[in-house]
Amino acid sequence: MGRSIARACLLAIGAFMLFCGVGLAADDQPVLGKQLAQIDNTYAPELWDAGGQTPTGAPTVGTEGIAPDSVPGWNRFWFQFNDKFYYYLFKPVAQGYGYVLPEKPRTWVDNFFHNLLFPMRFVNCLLQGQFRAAGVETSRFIGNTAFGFGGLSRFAYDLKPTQPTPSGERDLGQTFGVWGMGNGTYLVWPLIGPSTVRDSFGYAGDYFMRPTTYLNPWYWSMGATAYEKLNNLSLRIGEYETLTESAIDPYTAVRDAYLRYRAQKVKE
Amino acid sequence: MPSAMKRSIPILALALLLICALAAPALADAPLSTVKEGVDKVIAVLQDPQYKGAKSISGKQLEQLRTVIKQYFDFTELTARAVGRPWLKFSPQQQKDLSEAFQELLEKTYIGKFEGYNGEKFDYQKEMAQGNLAFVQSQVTANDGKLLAVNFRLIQKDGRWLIYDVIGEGISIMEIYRSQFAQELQNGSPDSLIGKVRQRVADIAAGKAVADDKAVLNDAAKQQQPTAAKQ
Repeated sequence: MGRSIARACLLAIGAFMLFCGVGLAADDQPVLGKQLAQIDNTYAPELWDAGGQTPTGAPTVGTEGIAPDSVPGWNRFWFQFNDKFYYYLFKPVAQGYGYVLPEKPRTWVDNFFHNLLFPMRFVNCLLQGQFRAAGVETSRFIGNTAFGFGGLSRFAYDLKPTQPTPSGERDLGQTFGVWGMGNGTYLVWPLIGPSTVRDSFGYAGDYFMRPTTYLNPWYWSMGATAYEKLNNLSLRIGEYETLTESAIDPYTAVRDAYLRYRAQKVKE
Repeated sequence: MPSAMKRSIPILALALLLICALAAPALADAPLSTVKEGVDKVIAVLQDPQYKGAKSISGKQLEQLRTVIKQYFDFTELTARAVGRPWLKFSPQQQKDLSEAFQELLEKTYIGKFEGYNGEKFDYQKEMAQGNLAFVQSQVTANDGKLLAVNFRLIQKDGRWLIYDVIGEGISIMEIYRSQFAQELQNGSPDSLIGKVRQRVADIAAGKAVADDKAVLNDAAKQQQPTAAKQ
């Protein structure tokens, strides 16, 4: 009841502001009719969101509706820091590694680590109530481990499930989102990169579901994780560059891309 | 005079029929088939054997790509929607300038990415249309077997469907630029926004990367490459 009133109020305010906007615009240019038609068309919220669903809730211009950027100073500092680290250290190292090792073996390594993350995917599928996806992930894990050289091949991923099954690529931050938890503020962590309060807790939780965490002693665990990241980066060089190079403000571009990507993941 | 008119009537009717017959396929073009046609044409240019062995997309191939993209993609609509309501405050000249600069920026940064195309298959799944707007969903199978969702937003103008937004894995080109444009327009003016976009284009053309001090970093990265090659 209270909700519908709030929604009606919001609609009324929206309509009022739209008229104000028309009025203001009309001061500048006299072609009111044409502009009204344009407003109908161009400035109405999109009929479908990025995933093709009808959007719910009040439309926002940016990503404030997904997660506010409450600590821009902190975030921008670490963004710059990570950016420098990327260009000065990670990228050259990954490029050198890429020169030494051809793409095929690097893909196998990537598959191996992906296969190893099965516990994380499985648990999160269950937590999100995606039992079919959990089952498919399990069969893929068994298939790839037993007949795919311990996970070096991901042949079981090319086999289509008999029934359409949602993706099993799930993590804890996404699970929290599916449960209806809010994002909190947008946060950039040193070295880890873009996150939100919710995703940070998710990241911490997922840490305990990564088999590499339990390697002993600690430097083996660290080394394995670092190697996994390096190998993965060597396969994805250029993605970060495209996003930031095409941006007017790289910080905003990366933030929005992250938040929209995650929002889409939660909706899936 | 009347006889001439009588004679002209069947001719007129025939002409009308002809026009209808010619116009019908254009009108009947569904959003999904438009996207498919456009993507197929882009792929055809990318895989054209006469450009085989070329290190990067350039010269005639680049021209061909641009022509195909312009035929199916509406950059003005993309710019207008990325700007949002402040678009009405732009003078027609400013609207034109921003669209053109933005188009150049996207071409400079994204066409190069097409080089990575390696026969990935598009699987068109669903189209939704309402009024003059439409949405097409597709799935691309990457070479490592991963499925990527690629969606398109379309608008119908003069009976033709045009793509105005591409969404890869939930990230839409239009939406990525919305906050950036809004931020610049809040602090500056349409002209300063146009200036910023043009500046970015010039930076890329000059081989400089983005963030203010990144030029230095880029040089550092370039110096790294030969060393890495020697290993």
